[in-house]
Amino acid sequence: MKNRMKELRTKRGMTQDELARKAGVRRETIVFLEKGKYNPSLRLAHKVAKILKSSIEDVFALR
Amino acid sequence: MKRKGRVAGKARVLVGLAVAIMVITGAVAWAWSISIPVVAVILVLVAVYVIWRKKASMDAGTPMEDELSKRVVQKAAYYAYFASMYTALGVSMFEEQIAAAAGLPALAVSDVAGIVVVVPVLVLFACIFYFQRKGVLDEE
Repeated sequence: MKNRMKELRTKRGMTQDELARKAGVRRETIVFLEKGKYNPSLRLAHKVAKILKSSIEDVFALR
Repeated sequence: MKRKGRVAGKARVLVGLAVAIMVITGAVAWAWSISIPVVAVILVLVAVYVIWRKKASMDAGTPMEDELSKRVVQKAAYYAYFASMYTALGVSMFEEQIAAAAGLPALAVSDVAGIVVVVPVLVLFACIFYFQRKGVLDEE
């Protein structure tokens, strides 16, 4: 699965730490998600999309 | 509701920590008693590393465990489970050879129990480190 998390996060001027705190996960999880080394649960994908003010489809997509 | 969840989360962490300390203390004592200090040192270092990571997460205001950390431990435990079965099988099949390699006339029950506990624990730690670096990408 590919994602635009890093692009959308930097566009909003947010750090990985801030995103992690808002999503209620550790910073490593955000790092792994951005690198495409981990596929989030539907719940976390929904949370991240909401924080980045985008839809899940905008943030995550199948390769 | 949220407070109840936090209390349950803290209780789970404390129970997990207590069990981890008991297992590691037992394994270290065993490794030390049969003169394998390297194993004992590895177990202590890993325990310190895990506690340090959890403290760093807590200090950063993020949870000590989340869905990725749970998934990493689940996947590592899957391999450690197989390691425990094959270790038990291997020890029972090659008991005499292991005893000869260790310079012992025969393996005591405590030696066999120690091997069957320590090998999977080491596999578990190795897998956790591996998946923490490589990630857990369950897709074909």
